[in-house]
Amino acid sequence: MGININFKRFVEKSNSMFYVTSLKGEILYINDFGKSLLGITPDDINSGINVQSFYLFSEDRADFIQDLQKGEIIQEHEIRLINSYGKKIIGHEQSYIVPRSSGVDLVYGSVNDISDFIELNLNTARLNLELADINQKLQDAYTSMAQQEKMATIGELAAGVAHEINNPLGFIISNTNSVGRYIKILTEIFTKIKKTYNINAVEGIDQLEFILTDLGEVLKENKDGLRRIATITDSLKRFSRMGDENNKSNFDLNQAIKDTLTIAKTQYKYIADIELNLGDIPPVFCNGDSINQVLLNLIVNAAHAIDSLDPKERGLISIQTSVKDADVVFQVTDSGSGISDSIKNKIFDPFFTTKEVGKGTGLGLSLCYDIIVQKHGGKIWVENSSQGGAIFSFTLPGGNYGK
Amino acid sequence: MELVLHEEIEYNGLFLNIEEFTDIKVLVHLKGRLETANSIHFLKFIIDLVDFSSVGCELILNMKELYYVSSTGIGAFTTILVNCKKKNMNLFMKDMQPKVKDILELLGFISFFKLI
Repeated sequence: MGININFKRFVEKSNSMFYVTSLKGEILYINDFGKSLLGITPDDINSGINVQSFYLFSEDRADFIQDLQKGEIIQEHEIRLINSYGKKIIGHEQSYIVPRSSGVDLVYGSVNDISDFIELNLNTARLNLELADINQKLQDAYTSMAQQEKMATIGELAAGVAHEINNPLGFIISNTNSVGRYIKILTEIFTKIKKTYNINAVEGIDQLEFILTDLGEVLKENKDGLRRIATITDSLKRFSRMGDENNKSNFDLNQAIKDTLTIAKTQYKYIADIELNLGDIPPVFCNGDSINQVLLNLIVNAAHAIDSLDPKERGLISIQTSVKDADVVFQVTDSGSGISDSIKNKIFDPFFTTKEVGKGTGLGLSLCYDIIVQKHGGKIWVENSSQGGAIFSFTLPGGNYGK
Repeated sequence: MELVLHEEIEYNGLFLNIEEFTDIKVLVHLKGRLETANSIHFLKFIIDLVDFSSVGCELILNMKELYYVSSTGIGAFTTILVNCKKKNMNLFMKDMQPKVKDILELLGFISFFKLI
Protein backbone atom coordinates (compact mmCIF):
# COMPACT_ATOMS: atom_id res chain seq x y z
CA MET A 1 0.00 0.00 0.00
CA GLY A 2 1.59 3.31 -1.04
CA ILE A 3 2.04 6.40 1.10
CA ASN A 4 -0.59 8.28 -0.90
CA ILE A 5 -3.25 5.68 -0.18
CA ASN A 6 -2.39 5.62 3.53
CA PHE A 7 -2.37 9.38 3.67
CA LYS A 8 -5.75 9.52 1.89
CA ARG A 9 -7.14 7.10 4.48
CA PHE A 10 -5.72 9.26 7.29
CA VAL A 11 -7.34 12.35 5.80
CA GLU A 12 -10.66 10.56 5.35
CA LYS A 13 -10.75 9.30 8.94
CA SER A 14 -9.14 12.31 10.63
CA ASN A 15 -10.89 14.28 13.39
CA SER A 16 -9.86 17.47 11.64
CA MET A 17 -11.58 18.97 8.64
CA PHE A 18 -9.56 18.62 5.43
CA TYR A 19 -10.69 20.43 2.31
CA VAL A 20 -9.79 21.56 -1.17
CA THR A 21 -11.48 24.63 -2.63
CA SER A 22 -11.05 26.93 -5.54
CA LEU A 23 -9.90 30.47 -4.83
CA LYS A 24 -13.53 31.51 -5.29
CA GLY A 25 -14.49 29.10 -2.51
CA GLU A 26 -16.23 26.24 -4.38
CA ILE A 27 -15.75 23.08 -2.30
CA LEU A 28 -13.99 20.46 -4.47
CA TYR A 29 -13.21 18.03 -1.68
CA ILE A 30 -14.09 17.82 2.02
CA ASN A 31 -13.57 14.83 4.33
CA ASP A 32 -16.29 13.21 6.44
CA PHE A 33 -15.38 15.16 9.57
CA GLY A 34 -15.62 18.39 7.59
CA LYS A 35 -19.03 17.45 6.20
CA SER A 36 -20.24 16.65 9.70
CA LEU A 37 -18.73 19.82 11.19
CA LEU A 38 -20.28 22.10 8.57
CA GLY A 39 -23.48 20.04 8.27
CA ILE A 40 -23.27 19.50 4.50
CA THR A 41 -24.44 16.59 2.37
CA PRO A 42 -22.96 15.07 -0.81
CA ASP A 43 -25.79 16.81 -2.68
CA ASP A 44 -24.61 20.15 -1.32
CA ILE A 45 -21.16 19.44 -2.74
CA ASN A 46 -22.57 18.32 -6.08
CA SER A 47 -24.59 21.50 -6.29
CA GLY A 48 -21.39 23.53 -5.90
CA ILE A 49 -21.78 24.80 -2.34
CA ASN A 50 -19.34 27.61 -1.51
CA VAL A 51 -17.24 27.70 1.63
CA GLN A 52 -17.92 31.43 1.84
CA SER A 53 -21.44 30.65 3.10
CA PHE A 54 -19.96 29.14 6.29
CA TYR A 55 -17.94 32.17 7.30
CA LEU A 56 -19.42 33.96 10.29
CA PHE A 57 -17.92 37.22 9.08
CA SER A 58 -18.08 37.26 5.28
CA GLU A 59 -15.01 39.50 4.83
CA ASP A 60 -12.79 37.03 6.74
CA ARG A 61 -12.54 34.83 3.61
CA ALA A 62 -11.31 37.64 1.38
CA ASP A 63 -8.74 38.72 4.02
CA PHE A 64 -7.59 35.13 4.32
CA ILE A 65 -7.15 34.62 0.57
CA GLN A 66 -5.25 37.91 0.43
CA ASP A 67 -2.87 36.61 3.11
CA LEU A 68 -2.46 33.32 1.25
CA GLN A 69 -1.58 35.11 -1.93
CA LYS A 70 1.22 37.00 -0.19
CA GLY A 71 3.26 33.92 -1.04
CA GLU A 72 3.92 32.29 2.32
CA ILE A 73 3.66 28.52 2.01
CA ILE A 74 1.33 27.84 4.90
CA GLN A 75 -0.92 30.33 6.61
CA GLU A 76 -2.47 29.53 9.93
CA HIS A 77 -5.06 31.50 11.75
CA GLU A 78 -8.26 31.36 13.75
CA ILE A 79 -11.38 30.92 11.65
CA ARG A 80 -14.94 31.73 12.73
CA LEU A 81 -17.60 29.60 11.02
CA ILE A 82 -21.31 28.95 11.30
CA ASN A 83 -22.59 25.55 10.12
CA SER A 84 -25.86 24.61 8.42
CA TYR A 85 -27.54 24.10 11.80
CA GLY A 86 -26.56 27.57 12.99
CA LYS A 87 -23.85 26.36 15.37
CA LYS A 88 -20.94 28.78 15.67
CA ILE A 89 -17.52 27.19 15.36
CA ILE A 90 -14.08 28.55 16.14
CA GLY A 91 -11.36 26.62 14.35
CA HIS A 92 -7.63 26.67 13.90
CA GLU A 93 -6.95 26.64 10.16
CA GLN A 94 -3.77 25.84 8.21
CA SER A 95 -3.89 26.34 4.45
CA TYR A 96 -1.78 26.87 1.41
CA ILE A 97 -2.30 27.65 -2.24
CA VAL A 98 -1.40 25.12 -4.91
CA PRO A 99 -0.73 26.92 -8.18
CA ARG A 100 -1.85 25.02 -11.27
CA SER A 101 -0.78 25.32 -14.86
CA SER A 102 -4.40 25.86 -15.87
CA GLY A 103 -4.25 29.10 -13.89
CA VAL A 104 -7.05 27.94 -11.56
CA ASP A 105 -5.24 27.81 -8.23
CA LEU A 106 -6.53 25.59 -5.45
CA VAL A 107 -6.60 26.08 -1.68
CA TYR A 108 -5.66 23.06 0.42
CA GLY A 109 -6.37 23.28 4.12
CA SER A 110 -7.26 21.72 7.42
CA VAL A 111 -9.36 23.04 10.30
CA ASN A 112 -9.30 21.84 13.91
CA ASP A 113 -12.43 22.59 15.86
CA ILE A 114 -11.19 24.42 18.98
CA SER A 115 -14.58 25.84 20.01
CA ASP A 116 -14.73 23.92 23.30
CA PHE A 117 -11.15 24.83 24.17
CA ILE A 118 -11.77 28.49 23.40
CA GLU A 119 -15.05 28.49 25.30
CA LEU A 120 -13.31 27.00 28.33
CA ASN A 121 -10.52 29.58 28.20
CA LEU A 122 -12.88 32.46 27.67
CA ASN A 123 -15.10 31.25 30.49
CA THR A 124 -12.08 31.37 32.77
CA ALA A 125 -11.31 34.89 31.51
CA ARG A 126 -14.95 35.89 32.09
CA LEU A 127 -14.86 34.50 35.63
CA ASN A 128 -11.61 36.36 36.30
CA LEU A 129 -13.24 39.59 35.19
CA GLU A 130 -16.30 38.98 37.33
CA LEU A 131 -14.08 38.10 40.27
CA ALA A 132 -12.08 41.31 39.80
CA ASP A 133 -15.37 43.28 39.81
CA ILE A 134 -16.59 41.54 42.94
CA ASN A 135 -13.24 42.10 44.66
CA GLN A 136 -13.34 45.77 43.81
CA LYS A 137 -16.91 46.16 45.10
CA LEU A 138 -15.99 44.30 48.28
CA GLN A 139 -12.98 46.56 48.80
CA ASP A 140 -15.10 49.67 48.13
CA ALA A 141 -17.76 48.50 50.56
CA TYR A 142 -15.20 47.64 53.23
CA THR A 143 -13.45 51.00 52.96
CA SER A 144 -16.73 52.88 52.84
CA MET A 145 -17.89 51.07 55.98
CA ALA A 146 -14.58 51.76 57.69
CA GLN A 147 -14.85 55.44 56.75
CA GLN A 148 -18.44 55.67 57.95
CA GLU A 149 -17.43 53.95 61.18
CA LYS A 150 -14.60 56.46 61.57
CA MET A 151 -16.93 59.38 60.92
CA ALA A 152 -19.42 57.97 63.43
CA THR A 153 -16.69 57.63 66.06
CA ILE A 154 -15.45 61.15 65.41
CA GLY A 155 -19.04 62.37 65.60
CA GLU A 156 -19.59 60.66 68.96
CA LEU A 157 -16.31 62.05 70.21
CA ALA A 158 -17.20 65.54 69.06
CA ALA A 159 -20.60 65.33 70.72
CA GLY A 160 -18.95 64.12 73.95
CA VAL A 161 -16.34 66.88 73.90
CA ALA A 162 -19.00 69.49 73.18
CA HIS A 163 -21.04 68.25 76.14
CA GLU A 164 -18.01 68.28 78.46
CA ILE A 165 -17.10 71.80 77.37
CA ASN A 166 -20.67 73.03 77.70
CA ASN A 167 -20.93 72.29 81.43
CA PRO A 168 -17.95 74.41 82.60
CA LEU A 169 -18.80 76.92 79.87
CA GLY A 170 -22.19 77.43 81.51
CA PHE A 171 -20.79 78.49 84.89
CA ILE A 172 -17.93 80.47 83.30
CA ILE A 173 -20.48 82.54 81.35
CA SER A 174 -22.63 82.91 84.46
CA ASN A 175 -19.65 83.94 86.61
CA THR A 176 -18.40 86.32 83.93
CA ASN A 177 -21.80 88.02 83.92
CA SER A 178 -21.57 88.30 87.71
CA VAL A 179 -18.07 89.78 87.47
CA GLY A 180 -19.48 92.29 84.99
CA ARG A 181 -22.16 93.31 87.45
CA TYR A 182 -19.58 93.53 90.28
CA ILE A 183 -17.34 95.77 88.19
CA LYS A 184 -20.31 98.00 87.43
CA ILE A 185 -21.07 98.27 91.17
CA LEU A 186 -17.42 98.87 92.03
CA THR A 187 -17.21 101.58 89.37
CA GLU A 188 -20.33 103.32 90.73
CA ILE A 189 -18.95 103.18 94.30
CA PHE A 190 -15.57 104.46 93.14
CA THR A 191 -17.25 107.36 91.32
CA LYS A 192 -19.20 108.29 94.50
CA ILE A 193 -16.04 108.08 96.66
CA LYS A 194 -14.19 110.23 94.18
CA LYS A 195 -16.95 112.84 94.26
CA THR A 196 -17.27 112.80 98.08
CA TYR A 197 -13.61 112.63 99.13
CA ASN A 198 -10.51 114.19 97.74
CA ILE A 199 -8.60 111.04 96.92
CA ASN A 200 -6.64 112.35 93.97
CA ALA A 201 -3.54 112.48 96.18
CA VAL A 202 -3.77 108.77 97.02
CA GLU A 203 -0.94 106.92 95.38
CA GLY A 204 -2.06 104.72 92.51
CA ILE A 205 -5.55 106.23 92.21
CA ASP A 206 -5.04 106.91 88.47
CA GLN A 207 -4.10 103.28 87.97
CA LEU A 208 -7.23 102.14 89.83
CA GLU A 209 -9.39 104.34 87.62
CA PHE A 210 -7.74 102.89 84.52
CA ILE A 211 -8.17 99.31 85.80
CA LEU A 212 -11.86 99.80 86.41
CA THR A 213 -12.36 101.20 82.91
CA ASP A 214 -10.19 98.56 81.25
CA LEU A 215 -11.81 95.70 83.20
CA GLY A 216 -15.04 96.50 81.37
CA GLU A 217 -13.27 96.22 78.02
CA VAL A 218 -11.45 93.00 79.00
CA LEU A 219 -14.69 91.50 80.17
CA LYS A 220 -16.39 92.48 76.91
CA GLU A 221 -13.68 90.62 74.97
CA ASN A 222 -14.02 87.63 77.27
CA LYS A 223 -17.75 87.54 76.70
CA ASP A 224 -17.20 87.68 72.95
CA GLY A 225 -14.76 84.76 73.18
CA LEU A 226 -17.14 82.76 75.33
CA ARG A 227 -19.98 83.44 72.88
CA ARG A 228 -17.81 82.07 70.07
CA ILE A 229 -16.98 78.94 72.09
CA ALA A 230 -20.69 78.44 72.76
CA THR A 231 -21.44 78.77 69.03
CA ILE A 232 -18.80 76.15 68.20
CA THR A 233 -20.03 73.67 70.81
CA ASP A 234 -23.65 74.17 69.68
CA SER A 235 -22.58 73.56 66.08
CA LEU A 236 -20.60 70.48 67.06
CA LYS A 237 -23.55 69.08 68.96
CA ARG A 238 -25.94 69.73 66.08
CA PHE A 239 -23.46 68.43 63.52
CA SER A 240 -22.55 65.22 65.25
CA ARG A 241 -25.97 64.22 66.51
CA MET A 242 -25.86 60.50 65.77
CA GLY A 243 -28.80 58.73 64.26
CA ASP A 244 -30.04 55.97 62.05
CA GLU A 245 -29.34 56.52 58.34
CA ASN A 246 -33.06 56.14 57.68
CA ASN A 247 -33.93 58.52 60.48
CA LYS A 248 -35.11 61.50 58.44
CA SER A 249 -36.73 64.67 59.65
CA ASN A 250 -37.25 68.25 58.56
CA PHE A 251 -33.84 69.86 58.31
CA ASP A 252 -32.78 73.50 58.09
CA LEU A 253 -30.13 73.40 55.35
CA ASN A 254 -29.21 77.09 55.72
CA GLN A 255 -28.55 76.69 59.46
CA ALA A 256 -26.53 73.52 58.73
CA ILE A 257 -24.35 75.47 56.29
CA LYS A 258 -23.63 78.10 58.96
CA ASP A 259 -22.81 75.36 61.50
CA THR A 260 -20.51 73.60 59.04
CA LEU A 261 -18.71 76.84 58.23
CA THR A 262 -18.07 77.32 61.95
CA ILE A 263 -16.63 73.81 62.26
CA ALA A 264 -14.56 74.02 59.09
CA LYS A 265 -13.25 77.53 59.80
CA THR A 266 -9.67 76.40 60.36
CA GLN A 267 -9.66 74.91 56.89
CA TYR A 268 -10.42 78.16 55.06
CA LYS A 269 -9.95 81.20 57.29
CA TYR A 270 -6.32 81.84 56.24
CA ILE A 271 -6.84 81.21 52.54
CA ALA A 272 -10.35 82.21 51.52
CA ASP A 273 -13.26 84.51 52.20
CA ILE A 274 -16.79 83.18 52.38
CA GLU A 275 -19.67 84.65 50.42
CA LEU A 276 -23.08 83.42 51.55
CA ASN A 277 -26.17 83.79 49.45
CA LEU A 278 -28.69 81.65 51.26
CA GLY A 279 -32.14 81.71 49.71
CA ASP A 280 -35.54 81.40 51.28
CA ILE A 281 -35.77 77.62 51.21
CA PRO A 282 -38.18 75.24 52.91
CA PRO A 283 -36.99 72.60 55.37
CA VAL A 284 -35.64 69.50 53.69
CA PHE A 285 -36.84 66.06 54.75
CA CYS A 286 -33.57 64.18 55.12
CA ASN A 287 -31.02 62.62 57.44
CA GLY A 288 -29.34 65.70 58.89
CA ASP A 289 -26.14 63.92 60.00
CA SER A 290 -25.48 62.65 56.49
CA ILE A 291 -26.19 66.02 54.88
CA ASN A 292 -23.85 67.70 57.39
CA GLN A 293 -21.15 65.30 56.25
CA VAL A 294 -21.79 66.23 52.60
CA LEU A 295 -21.62 69.96 53.40
CA LEU A 296 -18.35 69.51 55.32
CA ASN A 297 -16.78 67.47 52.51
CA LEU A 298 -17.75 69.98 49.81
CA ILE A 299 -16.67 73.05 51.77
CA VAL A 300 -13.33 71.47 52.80
CA ASN A 301 -12.80 70.38 49.18
CA ALA A 302 -13.38 73.97 48.02
CA ALA A 303 -10.79 75.18 50.55
CA HIS A 304 -8.29 72.56 49.40
CA ALA A 305 -8.82 73.57 45.76
CA ILE A 306 -7.89 77.16 46.64
CA ASP A 307 -5.00 76.04 48.84
CA SER A 308 -3.51 74.03 45.97
CA LEU A 309 -3.16 77.10 43.74
CA ASP A 310 0.37 78.01 42.79
CA PRO A 311 1.25 80.83 43.36
CA LYS A 312 -0.86 81.08 46.51
CA GLU A 313 -3.52 83.76 46.52
CA ARG A 314 -6.45 84.43 48.82
CA GLY A 315 -9.55 82.93 47.28
CA LEU A 316 -13.30 83.03 47.55
CA ILE A 317 -15.79 80.30 48.44
CA SER A 318 -19.33 81.24 47.42
CA ILE A 319 -22.22 79.25 48.80
CA GLN A 320 -25.79 79.61 47.73
CA THR A 321 -29.07 77.86 48.27
CA SER A 322 -32.25 78.15 46.25
CA VAL A 323 -35.36 76.32 45.15
CA LYS A 324 -35.79 74.98 41.64
CA ASP A 325 -38.72 72.89 40.43
CA ALA A 326 -39.64 72.11 44.05
CA ASP A 327 -36.13 70.80 44.73
CA VAL A 328 -33.77 72.50 47.14
CA VAL A 329 -30.48 73.35 45.42
CA PHE A 330 -27.10 73.77 47.14
CA GLN A 331 -24.13 75.18 45.28
CA VAL A 332 -20.55 75.86 46.38
CA THR A 333 -18.18 77.65 44.02
CA ASP A 334 -14.47 77.95 44.65
CA SER A 335 -11.84 80.11 42.99
CA GLY A 336 -9.47 77.20 42.44
CA SER A 337 -8.27 75.92 39.08
CA GLY A 338 -11.39 73.88 38.22
CA ILE A 339 -11.86 70.24 37.23
CA SER A 340 -10.38 68.96 33.96
CA ASP A 341 -12.78 67.26 31.53
CA SER A 342 -10.76 64.04 31.66
CA ILE A 343 -11.57 63.43 35.33
CA LYS A 344 -15.09 64.86 35.55
CA ASN A 345 -16.68 61.48 34.89
CA LYS A 346 -14.82 59.72 37.66
CA ILE A 347 -14.58 62.35 40.33
CA PHE A 348 -17.34 60.65 42.33
CA ASP A 349 -15.73 57.21 41.96
CA PRO A 350 -14.45 55.66 45.18
CA PHE A 351 -10.70 56.09 45.73
CA PHE A 352 -10.35 58.68 43.00
CA THR A 353 -8.28 61.59 44.22
CA THR A 354 -6.07 64.23 42.69
CA LYS A 355 -4.56 65.08 46.04
CA GLU A 356 -1.06 64.06 47.03
CA VAL A 357 -0.58 60.58 48.46
CA GLY A 358 -1.69 60.60 52.07
CA LYS A 359 -3.70 63.83 51.75
CA GLY A 360 -6.95 62.40 50.46
CA THR A 361 -8.63 59.05 50.75
CA GLY A 362 -10.56 59.53 47.51
CA LEU A 363 -13.72 58.68 49.41
CA GLY A 364 -15.14 62.09 50.31
CA LEU A 365 -16.96 62.75 47.06
CA SER A 366 -18.02 59.14 46.62
CA LEU A 367 -19.62 59.30 50.07
CA CYS A 368 -21.33 62.55 49.04
CA TYR A 369 -22.64 60.78 45.93
CA ASP A 370 -23.86 57.85 48.01
CA ILE A 371 -25.62 60.11 50.52
CA ILE A 372 -27.23 62.47 48.01
CA VAL A 373 -28.09 60.05 45.19
CA GLN A 374 -28.51 56.64 46.84
CA LYS A 375 -29.84 57.66 50.24
CA HIS A 376 -31.91 60.70 49.34
CA GLY A 377 -32.81 60.37 45.65
CA GLY A 378 -31.14 63.68 44.83
CA LYS A 379 -28.55 64.64 42.26
CA ILE A 380 -24.94 65.76 42.61
CA TRP A 381 -22.68 67.09 39.89
CA VAL A 382 -19.65 69.20 39.16
CA GLU A 383 -18.99 71.84 36.53
CA ASN A 384 -16.53 74.63 36.01
CA SER A 385 -17.39 78.27 36.59
CA SER A 386 -16.71 80.90 33.96
CA GLN A 387 -14.02 82.27 36.31
CA GLY A 388 -12.19 78.95 36.18
CA GLY A 389 -13.01 77.38 39.55
CA ALA A 390 -15.22 74.39 40.27
CA ILE A 391 -18.91 74.44 41.15
CA PHE A 392 -20.22 71.48 43.12
CA SER A 393 -24.00 71.32 43.28
CA PHE A 394 -26.56 69.00 44.74
CA THR A 395 -30.31 68.90 44.88
CA LEU A 396 -32.54 67.28 47.44
CA PRO A 397 -36.08 66.44 46.52
CA GLY A 398 -38.56 68.88 48.01
CA GLY A 399 -42.29 68.66 48.37
CA ASN A 400 -42.29 65.91 50.98
CA TYR A 401 -41.72 67.98 54.06
CA GLY A 402 -42.61 66.32 57.28
CA LYS A 403 -43.33 62.93 55.71
CA MET B 1 10.66 47.97 29.52
CA GLU B 2 11.80 51.24 28.09
CA LEU B 3 9.05 53.71 27.37
CA VAL B 4 9.44 55.22 23.94
CA LEU B 5 6.78 57.58 22.66
CA HIS B 6 5.72 57.79 19.01
CA GLU B 7 7.73 54.81 17.88
CA GLU B 8 5.92 51.94 16.17
CA ILE B 9 6.83 48.48 17.42
CA GLU B 10 5.84 45.38 15.42
CA TYR B 11 4.97 41.95 16.76
CA ASN B 12 4.11 39.55 13.89
CA GLY B 13 1.70 41.84 12.08
CA LEU B 14 0.57 43.85 15.09
CA PHE B 15 1.89 47.41 15.32
CA LEU B 16 1.87 49.22 18.67
CA ASN B 17 2.61 52.88 19.25
CA ILE B 18 2.49 54.76 22.57
CA GLU B 19 1.03 58.10 21.50
CA GLU B 20 0.62 59.67 24.94
CA PHE B 21 1.86 58.89 28.43
CA THR B 22 0.94 61.19 31.31
CA ASP B 23 -0.11 60.77 34.94
CA ILE B 24 -3.77 60.81 33.94
CA LYS B 25 -3.81 59.30 30.45
CA VAL B 26 -1.99 56.60 28.51
CA LEU B 27 -2.91 56.25 24.84
CA VAL B 28 -1.73 53.33 22.71
CA HIS B 29 -2.44 52.93 19.00
CA LEU B 30 -3.04 49.37 17.75
CA LYS B 31 -2.71 48.53 14.08
CA GLY B 32 -3.04 45.27 12.12
CA ARG B 33 -4.08 41.91 13.50
CA LEU B 34 -4.13 40.66 17.08
CA GLU B 35 -3.94 36.86 16.99
CA THR B 36 -2.23 33.79 18.40
CA ALA B 37 1.13 34.72 16.91
CA ASN B 38 1.36 38.07 18.72
CA SER B 39 -1.15 38.05 21.62
CA ILE B 40 1.45 37.12 24.21
CA HIS B 41 3.76 39.96 23.07
CA PHE B 42 0.86 42.38 23.06
CA LEU B 43 -0.15 41.30 26.56
CA LYS B 44 3.36 41.73 27.94
CA PHE B 45 3.73 45.13 26.28
CA ILE B 46 0.50 46.48 27.76
CA ILE B 47 0.92 44.88 31.19
CA ASP B 48 4.37 46.49 31.46
CA LEU B 49 2.75 49.78 30.47
CA VAL B 50 0.07 49.34 33.15
CA ASP B 51 2.82 48.71 35.71
CA PHE B 52 4.50 51.97 34.70
CA SER B 53 1.25 53.96 34.75
CA SER B 54 -0.04 56.06 37.64
CA VAL B 55 -2.77 54.65 39.85
CA GLY B 56 -6.20 55.82 38.71
CA CYS B 57 -5.17 56.95 35.24
CA GLU B 58 -6.92 56.13 31.97
CA LEU B 59 -5.59 53.55 29.54
CA ILE B 60 -7.00 54.15 26.07
CA LEU B 61 -6.46 51.60 23.31
CA ASN B 62 -7.02 53.25 19.96
CA MET B 63 -8.34 50.38 17.82
CA LYS B 64 -9.20 52.32 14.69
CA GLU B 65 -6.69 50.34 12.64
CA LEU B 66 -7.02 46.98 14.38
CA TYR B 67 -8.86 44.84 11.87
CA TYR B 68 -8.78 41.38 13.41
CA VAL B 69 -8.86 40.02 16.95
CA SER B 70 -8.70 36.28 17.65
CA SER B 71 -9.93 34.57 20.80
CA THR B 72 -6.41 34.74 22.26
CA GLY B 73 -6.54 38.50 21.65
CA ILE B 74 -9.77 38.70 23.61
CA GLY B 75 -8.12 36.68 26.38
CA ALA B 76 -5.32 39.27 26.38
CA PHE B 77 -7.84 42.12 26.65
CA THR B 78 -9.51 40.50 29.65
CA THR B 79 -6.17 40.00 31.42
CA ILE B 80 -5.32 43.65 30.75
CA LEU B 81 -8.70 44.72 32.14
CA VAL B 82 -8.16 42.70 35.34
CA ASN B 83 -4.73 44.32 35.77
CA CYS B 84 -6.19 47.78 35.18
CA LYS B 85 -8.86 47.18 37.81
CA LYS B 86 -6.17 46.21 40.31
CA LYS B 87 -4.57 49.64 39.77
CA ASN B 88 -7.92 51.45 39.76
CA MET B 89 -7.29 52.37 36.13
CA ASN B 90 -10.04 52.82 33.58
CA LEU B 91 -9.59 50.93 30.31
CA PHE B 92 -11.22 52.46 27.25
CA MET B 93 -11.35 51.01 23.74
CA LYS B 94 -11.47 53.77 21.18
CA ASP B 95 -12.89 53.62 17.63
CA MET B 96 -13.28 49.85 17.57
CA GLN B 97 -13.83 48.32 14.11
CA PRO B 98 -17.36 46.85 13.69
CA LYS B 99 -15.89 43.42 12.91
CA VAL B 100 -13.88 43.40 16.14
CA LYS B 101 -16.94 44.58 18.03
CA ASP B 102 -18.95 41.73 16.47
CA ILE B 103 -16.55 39.10 17.77
CA LEU B 104 -16.53 40.62 21.26
CA GLU B 105 -20.32 40.57 21.18
CA LEU B 106 -20.41 37.04 19.83
CA LEU B 107 -18.25 35.73 22.66
CA GLY B 108 -20.15 37.70 25.30
CA PHE B 109 -17.38 40.09 26.31
CA ILE B 110 -18.59 43.41 25.01
CA SER B 111 -20.28 44.43 28.28
CA PHE B 112 -16.99 44.24 30.20
CA PHE B 113 -15.32 46.93 28.12
CA LYS B 114 -15.91 50.66 27.88
CA LEU B 115 -16.10 51.73 24.25
CA ILE B 116 -15.52 55.34 23.26
